[in-house]
Amino acid sequence: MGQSSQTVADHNSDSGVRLSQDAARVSSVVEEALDGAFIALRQLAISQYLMDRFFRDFGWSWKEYRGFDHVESELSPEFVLSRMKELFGSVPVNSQVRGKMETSFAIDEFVKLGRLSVNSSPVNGKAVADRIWFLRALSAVNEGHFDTAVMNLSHVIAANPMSGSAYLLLGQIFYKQGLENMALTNMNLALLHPEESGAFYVVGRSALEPILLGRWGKYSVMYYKSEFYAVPGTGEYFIKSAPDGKNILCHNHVKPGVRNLLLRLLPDGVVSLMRWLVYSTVLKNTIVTPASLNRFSHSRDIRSLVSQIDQV
Amino acid sequence: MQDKLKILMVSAVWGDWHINAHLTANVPTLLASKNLPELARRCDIAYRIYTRRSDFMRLMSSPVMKNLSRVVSVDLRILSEDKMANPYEAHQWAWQQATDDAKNSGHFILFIPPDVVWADGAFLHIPDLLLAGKKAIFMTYVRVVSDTFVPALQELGQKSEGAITVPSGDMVKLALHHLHPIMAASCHDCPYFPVHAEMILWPVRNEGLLVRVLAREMFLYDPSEIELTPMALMNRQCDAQDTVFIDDSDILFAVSLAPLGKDAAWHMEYRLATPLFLAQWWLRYDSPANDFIASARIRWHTGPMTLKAWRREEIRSDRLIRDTIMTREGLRIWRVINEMGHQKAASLLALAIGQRLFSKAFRNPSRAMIFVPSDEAFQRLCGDKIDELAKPENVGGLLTFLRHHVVFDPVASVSILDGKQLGPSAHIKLVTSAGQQLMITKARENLLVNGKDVLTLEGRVGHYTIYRINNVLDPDMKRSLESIPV
Repeated sequence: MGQSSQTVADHNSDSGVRLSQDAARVSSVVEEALDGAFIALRQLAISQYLMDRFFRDFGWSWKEYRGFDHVESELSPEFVLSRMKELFGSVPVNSQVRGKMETSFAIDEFVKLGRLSVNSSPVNGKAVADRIWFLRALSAVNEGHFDTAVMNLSHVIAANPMSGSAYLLLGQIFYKQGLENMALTNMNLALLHPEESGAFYVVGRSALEPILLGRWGKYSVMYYKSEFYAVPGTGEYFIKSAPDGKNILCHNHVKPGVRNLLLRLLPDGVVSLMRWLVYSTVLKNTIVTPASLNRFSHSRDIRSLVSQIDQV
Repeated sequence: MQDKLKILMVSAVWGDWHINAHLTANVPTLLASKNLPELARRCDIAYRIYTRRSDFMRLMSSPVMKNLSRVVSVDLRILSEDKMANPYEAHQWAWQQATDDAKNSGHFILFIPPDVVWADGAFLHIPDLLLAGKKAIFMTYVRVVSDTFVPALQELGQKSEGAITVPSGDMVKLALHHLHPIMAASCHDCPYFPVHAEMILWPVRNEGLLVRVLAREMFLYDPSEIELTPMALMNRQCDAQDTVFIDDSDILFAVSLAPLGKDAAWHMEYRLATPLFLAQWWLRYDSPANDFIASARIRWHTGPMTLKAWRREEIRSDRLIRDTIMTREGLRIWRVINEMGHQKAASLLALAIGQRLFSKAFRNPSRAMIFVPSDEAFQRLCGDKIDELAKPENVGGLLTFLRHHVVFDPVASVSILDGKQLGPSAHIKLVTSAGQQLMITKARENLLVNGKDVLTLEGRVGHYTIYRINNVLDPDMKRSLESIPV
């Protein structure tokens, strides 16, 4: 009986572990994809803000700026922001990615208003918590609430003991308050830990061209103009940098089986020669052609796209 | 008859995007009449282009390259596949090889990035500058959104025999209409200032951009006279006699092409261009030529300039550059003092830097001796007294205290270092930055300040010789010390 019970228990436990592992994998892939899409949109939103600000300062009308002419009106600043909010809404509440997104919203709000709104909720994950606490501290300093700022900065340092900015601000607050010993100590620490906080965001592509977010099953998940696409991951379809620098989706008409066979059988030198022949002659235009993403399954919600892939 | 100046131009280009930029924008604008044709008329030019095997034919067969080879001798070289495994290293290797060849053959070297567009006249003044004895010419580029700029250039430019000609004022206007967001982020007051802080901009309303550059790679130089740092920056001090930074878009203007999203990750964080942030970045790209480069007030303008408006922004930019230079020097000294373990002195200096007071205490980064009181000296002086200097009401006291420990005297600095000149009966008189006189003498093997305080050489950094001293040199503090009962 005990043996049987144990067996059943083990079986249940295995299946439970597998299910929870699958769920975790789904969750992690989905979050990563949402994160990539969010970053791409935010880069565009910040670029739009920067150019608007520059043109106002420069005394030229915003309408004279031509650098976004290739961005369709679909990606207006208002639309980009609303899509960022939608993506944010689709991320689980307690996830690390949500924390990153919250932090991004907080940074952008602080830049525009010089303070954080009162309702700005706490963030998840140590990796980003320091930024929110730091902005709260800056807000408190701007409003003259030094004690609140010191408390917020202590949270920054708890999350990131290497935060030179936090020590610097602490040193400046203590200096203003006449706490000379604390000012001296924190100023020294500030110079000891110079930050390079820009290293946090590493995606360098804008939201205007297809980007590969990752793999799901036999598909590559791509993001383009606010939609997620499931593209067969056999190698037939791939993203390539076009002569104008943009990413484009290409279709290689040689079947994957034939390509793999050739790669396996031919020596490297011959493969290089064939590649050169294909890519340097008119053959290029017949064997590799631009492809449209519209033919593939797509959705504005990454979860439903992943479900569609799972059902195939 | 004088020999023609010899210049080796070099580009390294591969990949669809760069080849396309090179062929549709870079070479056609190089071919504008006051650019390469004019340079070739007055100088002996060779143009070497490195590429990879798979791009060789495309370059060779391009009509644009044929037009180019009618003006200058073009030497197209293939980079081997093993070098191409790491494109960054391949690039470095190509440039180094060209530099070595230029050095051995008595050529100047001129780096031509493939993704650059030149206003007409960009090369007109270069021969005159070289004939006037310049060994290095610096310039910088404005970045534009390539996706929209290149089609607009094709439309605007006057085309003839493969050349695209755009006068500098029109090119500046075009660049502003297609300005890359990273340029907007580089404005002095931008809250998303880029993490890579190589240039700072001050817009001059309706007229153009005033630009200050903190560090710059070489554009044109004589490799037999100038060595580079490991970061490929100039490795020697320079002055207006032998070096020039071209600071007027009417003399040389060029734009750098980049897709919209390029380097967007650099400006995603809340960050201000404070002297401390800029100074920390600057020390990572340290070069003896940086202060010369930063002194250039570069004007990119669309047409005639209202001098008053430009001057106003120049004064503002001077202030930030001066504060940043002094903050950088303060940081340089702080790092040594902190490493030596003089915590009290390091903390006082850190406070002065963090509160932007250091640049008020000292205005110019000249050769100097720094006397650093040891922690023991501060201890004897009484901690409370020295901490008083870290109060906001004692800013004057802190500045004076710092000045008492700095002597700007290059001759004396060398004399003290070279102990032979300081015999048993000899002495050197110094005056601190606070105006106090110091007497350096020698007793046995020790150097003494004012006959009693032992001076120990701790090291040299930048322009500075750093000594440890077992006392403080601020007379006000000494009086405090004397008033403390033993």
